[in-house]
Amino acid sequence: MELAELTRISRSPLRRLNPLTKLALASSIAVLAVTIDNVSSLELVCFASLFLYALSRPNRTRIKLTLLLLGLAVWGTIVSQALFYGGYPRTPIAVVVSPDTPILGWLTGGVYVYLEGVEYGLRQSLRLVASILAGLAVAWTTDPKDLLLALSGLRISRALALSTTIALRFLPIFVSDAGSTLTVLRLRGLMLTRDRPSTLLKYASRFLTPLYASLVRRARTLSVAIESRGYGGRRALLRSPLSLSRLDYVVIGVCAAVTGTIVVLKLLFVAYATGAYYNPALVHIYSLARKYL
Amino acid sequence: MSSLVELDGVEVKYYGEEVPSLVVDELSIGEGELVLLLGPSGSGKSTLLKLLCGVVPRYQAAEVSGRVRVLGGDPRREGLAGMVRRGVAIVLQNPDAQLFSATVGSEVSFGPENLGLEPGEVRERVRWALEVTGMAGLEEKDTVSLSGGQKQRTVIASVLALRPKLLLLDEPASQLDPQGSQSVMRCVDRLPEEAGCAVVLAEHRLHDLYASGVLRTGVRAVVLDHGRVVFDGDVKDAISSGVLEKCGVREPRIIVAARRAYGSVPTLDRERLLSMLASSLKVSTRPVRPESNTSPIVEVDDAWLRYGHGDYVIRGASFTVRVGEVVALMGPNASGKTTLMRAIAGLLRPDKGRIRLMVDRERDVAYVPQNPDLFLVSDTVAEELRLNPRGSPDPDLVEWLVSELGIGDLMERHPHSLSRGQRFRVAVAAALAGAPRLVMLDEPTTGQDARNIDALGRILAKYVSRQQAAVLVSTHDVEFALHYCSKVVVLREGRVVASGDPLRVLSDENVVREAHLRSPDEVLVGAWS
Repeated sequence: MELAELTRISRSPLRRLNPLTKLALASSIAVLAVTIDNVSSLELVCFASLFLYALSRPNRTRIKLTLLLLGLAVWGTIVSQALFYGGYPRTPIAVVVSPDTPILGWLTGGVYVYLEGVEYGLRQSLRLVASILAGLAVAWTTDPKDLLLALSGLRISRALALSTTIALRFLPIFVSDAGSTLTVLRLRGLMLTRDRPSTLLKYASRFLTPLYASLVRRARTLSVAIESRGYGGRRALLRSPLSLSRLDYVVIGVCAAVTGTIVVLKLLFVAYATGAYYNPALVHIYSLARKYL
Repeated sequence: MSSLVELDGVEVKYYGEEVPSLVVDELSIGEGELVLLLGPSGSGKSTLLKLLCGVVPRYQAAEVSGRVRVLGGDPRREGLAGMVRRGVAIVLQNPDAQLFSATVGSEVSFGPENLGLEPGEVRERVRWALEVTGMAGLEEKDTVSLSGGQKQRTVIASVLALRPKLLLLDEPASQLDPQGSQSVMRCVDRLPEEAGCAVVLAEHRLHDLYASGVLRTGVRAVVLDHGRVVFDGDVKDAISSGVLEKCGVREPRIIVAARRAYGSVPTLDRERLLSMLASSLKVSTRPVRPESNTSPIVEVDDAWLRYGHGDYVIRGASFTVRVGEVVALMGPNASGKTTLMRAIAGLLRPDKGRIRLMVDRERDVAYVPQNPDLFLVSDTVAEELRLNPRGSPDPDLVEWLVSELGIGDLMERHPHSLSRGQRFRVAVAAALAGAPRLVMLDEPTTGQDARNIDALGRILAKYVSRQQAAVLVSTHDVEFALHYCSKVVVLREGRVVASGDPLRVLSDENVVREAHLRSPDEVLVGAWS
């Protein structure tokens, strides 16, 4: 993947929004994804996130990277939940390790694929997909410097703001370096072909050493560069050049209203469901929450 | 002139090292001075700069003794942030790793915004810094779209906007093509006058310093060798005395020729020296070599390549690499050199045309990237050289490589603890230890001093005849191409604009200009031996 294609900030409608507004959008989607349990409503959140992602006008390279990230996230979540689902009831739909298998089977009591685990994994995947898409939309349409200023403006610690921004700045570099490392290792004969998976596993750890060393050096250079431009001094940021437009206020307002309402509805429903609080006047709200949240 | 920097009895020893990396008895730098910090790789140049701005010992742990005063403060106590507040700024080697923002204007305004200045003052400083660095009019340009020289000038502008009193530059042009490098050096040369700050420029690309007019009488040079100051005075005296050559700094050939012809260097004026040498030296220009007719190892035939559905990066490139050849692939930054190498290695497939490899791609091809970190996977250098999943390395070959590349003392060290130059030499040794028939090296001379470049050139020449192999080197180093390569292929915007004998290609003014190169001194003066 070409580094420039990953690092260039998209010329998209989202670029006009203040970084704080974009953070508010992404945060709302993340909160809603965690709050809502209903699969249809989660799908709706995913679609909203996908719309935000589409507004970032990703190029082909970015779409490929997104698919890779989503594929890994969904696959990992579903497989782990399908195999290790701990809730009840649970219905085995396939046997991975039979309880009769010597040692492994005796020790584990059998490993199964559970139907409820697959369903739960799918639901969790929707949550991850929504959050990842929204996060990428923000990352690809926001100047890292503006993000740093916005985070600093929120009065979170400078170290945290800086490390968040550096992590964002390094995502494309990490992808590019990982590709180059694989290239080099393959040419050294270290990443061999499918017919020798044991070799592949053996050298997988080797892959991380050069990647880690390269990223540490780059991070050190970048942090020196940022500090040498006056960031991190004792004096606070007195004047941020980032100001909120009317559109920003509208978007932040809508995000706060929608998210706040859904969270309150869900809390009321949880209070009712657990017997902590019940008010007959809210019966329609309980019904709504049960059906959609 | 008051002193901005005062060092007295200073010794810097990194933790884990037995020998100090820097020992300075006395050194001072005054306001508005331009100081060239010269010396071979590992001589202590970077350590001195990092000490002055507080990176050492704050970021890189080291024991520092003696008296260190920079702009009235002690960098050991105040660290980088404190020194920046006092008016110190530093620019490092790799511009890509230092750029932070999406556009040039945004990048340059970051510093003044951090100072909390009024928006009008921020705009004024951005305008001034961009003007001084020759970047005016590019405020809205994406930083990823800039050329290498523009990127580094943007980094310089971004620290200039803080109005520093002392600007430290650590080999700022080491990763740029010759024209980009000269644009940065000319910009740096103007700074003491136009920006009113003292400048300390650590560099070993003397050819580009000379070609851009920075190496001239009246400029101060501080020469370091093995961590000690071995010369402090006018750069003309440093050059005439031969101290740089003794330390292993690669000097422009016309300077070496003049010193040999006249016993000293009569003038640093490049044009005068060229005409003096041209009229007084017996010129023995070597004939242009005919094309080799050994069997081919790689045939690139009208290859077209692009990433995804973007513009073509390689546009109809054609050339052949033959057994026994060391071929230099040259051209401006982003002209497609690395892409072509990756395609030859089989990692990218041409969209049109073809690339034929006459050796086994899985067994006989080695590639060392520009960033040697990505190549080194072992815990010790010895282990790195032994690592060869395709079979046991030939012990004679390994022994020869270790001795020629001067890495015998490093065998028990962790590869990632070495300097960039050392890491690259280890990577080259590890690549060649597998006895590949086709070796591809990306910018192998970056960060290397004269001795190591000469050693590398000699090794590659011997290797190709010993192993019946070929080497393809991507490089901006015109001297390396002229002296150690049998053929040059020049790329510009993905097209081969010239290929053939280095002497013939690098004598062509049009090619040199188009490909952002520089004619080597031998070509200009005609003195070739």
